[in-house]
Amino acid sequence: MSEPLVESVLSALKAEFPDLAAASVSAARHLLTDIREDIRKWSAQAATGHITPEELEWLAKSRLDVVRLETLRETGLSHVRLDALRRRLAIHIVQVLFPTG
Amino acid sequence: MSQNRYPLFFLLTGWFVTALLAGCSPAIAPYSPVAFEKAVDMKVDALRLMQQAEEPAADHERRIATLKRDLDRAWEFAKGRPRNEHSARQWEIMRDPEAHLLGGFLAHWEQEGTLSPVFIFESQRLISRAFDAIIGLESGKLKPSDV
Repeated sequence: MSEPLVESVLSALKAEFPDLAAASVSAARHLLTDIREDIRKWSAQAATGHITPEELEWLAKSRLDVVRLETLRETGLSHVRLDALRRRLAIHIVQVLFPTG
Repeated sequence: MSQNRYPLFFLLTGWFVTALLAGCSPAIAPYSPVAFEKAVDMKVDALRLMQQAEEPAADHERRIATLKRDLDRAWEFAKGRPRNEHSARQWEIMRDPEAHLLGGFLAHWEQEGTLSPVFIFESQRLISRAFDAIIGLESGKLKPSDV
């Protein structure tokens, strides 16, 4: 049960985040591995009756939603780093042009 | 260019570049202690309420309604802040009863009546991680002391 679901979730993920499909960085690989492991664990739980197949599907979709929120966090933080860089540059230029002391 | 104009040239160039950098709007909203506190409080409330999902949702109607209201408020607060689209979108997904985070969990609980302990545990783990993404973004935003 787990492998088709794993592949369908990963396909959906790669479709929504195309950079992930071509990514070779360790963070992206880790993410895909992490998701695969989660789904395999839930599939095992479904096989033993601890969750239903519908709950397994629900958890897989929930996992994708977590990826969405974490991606928003990372893109947001990249904007923060850009803002911080611009501020430091402006301060540095002012200090170079108008040195004190 | 004569020697006398060099300082003026660099001064004007530096002024222009500084004005350009300083005048550009920030790319993202600054840190909000209110938003941060809301998110942290809601994470605690949500995980505690989810723990009750083995019991009928009807027995926890008021708490469920309160949490839904808090989700809506957090979303509206996020949407109302300029340059805060990332946080607003995070809250939108979190509150959406058609999605599969907290809003979806509450709707699912109400629909099913009760939920299984393993499903609750796994959902708590995921929704906790989702809240950490919201909290992590807010806490990472620039504070006045960072200027």
